[in-house]
Amino acid sequence: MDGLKRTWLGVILVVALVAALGVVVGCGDTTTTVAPGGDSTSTTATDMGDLAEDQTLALNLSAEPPSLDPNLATDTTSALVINNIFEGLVHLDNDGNPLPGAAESWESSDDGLTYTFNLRGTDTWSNGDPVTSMDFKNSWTRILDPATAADYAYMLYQIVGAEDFNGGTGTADALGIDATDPNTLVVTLTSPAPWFVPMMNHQAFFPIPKATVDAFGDKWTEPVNIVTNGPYSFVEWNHDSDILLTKWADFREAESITLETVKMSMINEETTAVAAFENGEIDVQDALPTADMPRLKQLPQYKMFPTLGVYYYGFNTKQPPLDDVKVRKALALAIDRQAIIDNIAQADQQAASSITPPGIPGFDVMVQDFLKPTAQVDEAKALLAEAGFPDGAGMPEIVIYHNTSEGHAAIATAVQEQWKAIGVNVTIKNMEWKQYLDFVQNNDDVMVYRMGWIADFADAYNFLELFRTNSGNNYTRWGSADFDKALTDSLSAADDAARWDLYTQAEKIASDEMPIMPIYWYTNPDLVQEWVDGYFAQPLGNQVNLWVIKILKH
Amino acid sequence: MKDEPIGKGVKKFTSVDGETFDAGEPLVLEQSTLLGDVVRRYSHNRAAMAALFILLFMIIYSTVGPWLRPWSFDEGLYSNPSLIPYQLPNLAHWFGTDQNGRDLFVRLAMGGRVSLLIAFAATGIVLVIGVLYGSLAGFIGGKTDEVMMRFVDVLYGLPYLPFAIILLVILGAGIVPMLLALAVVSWLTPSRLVRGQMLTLKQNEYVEAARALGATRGRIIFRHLLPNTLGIIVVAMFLEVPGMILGEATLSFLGLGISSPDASWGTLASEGWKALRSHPWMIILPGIFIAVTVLCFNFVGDGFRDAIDPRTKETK
Repeated sequence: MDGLKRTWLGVILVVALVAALGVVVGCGDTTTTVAPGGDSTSTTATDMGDLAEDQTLALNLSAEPPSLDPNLATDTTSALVINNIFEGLVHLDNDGNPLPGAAESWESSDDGLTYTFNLRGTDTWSNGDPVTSMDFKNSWTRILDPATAADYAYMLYQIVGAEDFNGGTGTADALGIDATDPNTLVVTLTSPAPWFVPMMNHQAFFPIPKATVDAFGDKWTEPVNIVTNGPYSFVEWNHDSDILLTKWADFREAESITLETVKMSMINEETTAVAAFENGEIDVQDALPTADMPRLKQLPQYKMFPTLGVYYYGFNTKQPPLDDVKVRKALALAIDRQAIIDNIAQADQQAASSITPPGIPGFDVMVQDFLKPTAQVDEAKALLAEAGFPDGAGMPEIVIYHNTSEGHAAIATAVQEQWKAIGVNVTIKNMEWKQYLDFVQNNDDVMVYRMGWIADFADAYNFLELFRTNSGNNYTRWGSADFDKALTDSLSAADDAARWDLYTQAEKIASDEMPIMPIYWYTNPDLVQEWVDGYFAQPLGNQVNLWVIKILKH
Repeated sequence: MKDEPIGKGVKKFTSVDGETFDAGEPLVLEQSTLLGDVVRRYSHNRAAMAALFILLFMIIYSTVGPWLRPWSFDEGLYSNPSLIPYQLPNLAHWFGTDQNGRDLFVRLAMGGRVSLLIAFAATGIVLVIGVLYGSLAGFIGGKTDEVMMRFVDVLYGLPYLPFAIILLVILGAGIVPMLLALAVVSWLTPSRLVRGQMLTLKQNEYVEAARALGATRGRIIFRHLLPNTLGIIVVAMFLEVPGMILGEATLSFLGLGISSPDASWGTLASEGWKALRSHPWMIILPGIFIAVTVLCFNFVGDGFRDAIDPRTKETK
């Protein structure tokens, strides 16, 4: 008994000490993505004299990246690493415009159906092999190969033959990807896609070192095996603990890169991470604790970045009672979005009335106002009664799942209370990010899950195609032929107005059937130490071009 | 032979326990009873008395606290917009409000119910398992004892916290899994204690006599031996409870405890910790409740041990 007591006491003591060191809660996606490129991004001119001797950036990744395989990663946490150790055809500047990356230049045909990317011919992989157009073709063929089962395969569906090959009815030979010249990559699309070039900054389109992938299988992304072509070398990966990147000396532009080392930690308690930030142990923290938001907003290190994203709760539409659209609508109507923003998120987010966020071209045309900022309790109750659960009577308990984070937990308890108000009882469960992604995708027991989506390219298509029947990122088990058709038709729409009209139809179908319940449109508040120069989280994928960062004297 | 205190205690205890005891020794009756001794000795122990009153207060607070204020424990700003999150303690909200605007006076009382319930229930389970196991091993002795005690040794070797955490991860959060997780790792010490006592007691002549009269094993254990270990068991119980409260708080603090909107002192401390920097009272209050309760249980347990043990000197 004494032994046990002492053990507990010891544990309490340790926990108390840790608690004393840490403090703060935050909310936001554990997602952060980085894109290389962006040379001239808002760096203030600095003399060598202003630079710190130790060019090391300590950045909290918040979670173990689920996958560092460019073809398989689906989340911003993984992408933040991938985008700094691999290089795609283009980078993006802070305004989302493409800059030369692995491709020195590119042209599109007049009909917008053929893109030609010209590689430099001098770039190499970290093992000395040249970077060629075949590396891109290999990657794109692999991500589309049904055997790879990549969630992001649908991103490539506009390439000729891609959907058939991925669906198992076509062959790799029929793909519209031509790499006959090692320095020229020619891509043929089925329909014009104005976002195609900027989209090349997305990790799904990054090249892969095929020989390495074949040799090591799913262990190829371990530091001992990996071969990269980006500005940083992947040096260490202590799983669930930390990641170390160092500048790759043979990178094309290595001489102009100041930041030498990036240490990434995986602290998922915002409170602890912010305490570490305030102690100067972390330079960048992108998930902030809700309880401390008013205080943190006053700090000079508080930075707000624009972002294109939606925070939502998805419903497993095959799981009773969520298979009833009336129940899903009732739950969506019962939410006071503005109260969640005012009391938890607290960073000037907007209550989401539909899926596609403001800032996306055509937003004003597409926006649906089915969901109000405040709760429509009476309507929600009426719908619930229609569904056969008057005041929640007979309603099975709903389980909300979220990935481990204080902010997500706070929102889940708010939702729990609001659903209780219409008679629906809720339990809340959480899992670590990697396990969570696997769970919501593969376990049919999932009921309600929280998720966020940050744009991969600035078009509503990117948000809406998530919920296509065959989208690997659609965890709702929902599919609608009309919805799919509107999106497919949008690809061959005559002009923007026609395209937006089709998007509007798709939004309408989604709000009629409510497979997901949008909560708010993201903003991206980060804490960045004042000595970190050039840090910018991009609106697309919250990407950060680490190589433009400089550490100032401090 | 003079009536040795321990022998006297034994007799009296059995009689108090409702057994007809017709030995009818007026001599014994004239002397102070064991229970009387215990109460007298205990009441002279000021620290133990104070601790007992504080504990009673905690229990009363947990019981009636939720009815003293107009809000329910899960009523926050999302169902009652008049509530404001993170209020400092004030006239309306005596302990302030939490991140959802829920009244902390009510939540701490509800948390007390859960924490104390879990602690008492887990202690009960532990004692039942531990006492049965220990008395069987001790009474049967020999090879059986050897095997049973080596099994206890093996379990002792397991690290408590990871073991409890794994159990909770498998069973999921909730009151019953929490009880099991705490009980499974805590019954070992009581079982050893009781076994040791059994080994000593079974050498006594009255056991020999009972056996000679043809009493069954069960009768000997339950009528003769266990009553004599009751004192030790009571003390063990009081010392076990604070371990359970801390155990529950630890597991809840680690996020494995009662899930929202229910609360225990551990989950309230965990929620408070997240607001430590900006709203420190949110962790201070549950912290104080846990610490004070644990301390008081220890004082009361020590007090009883001293009071029951007749060799203890009387304290003023």
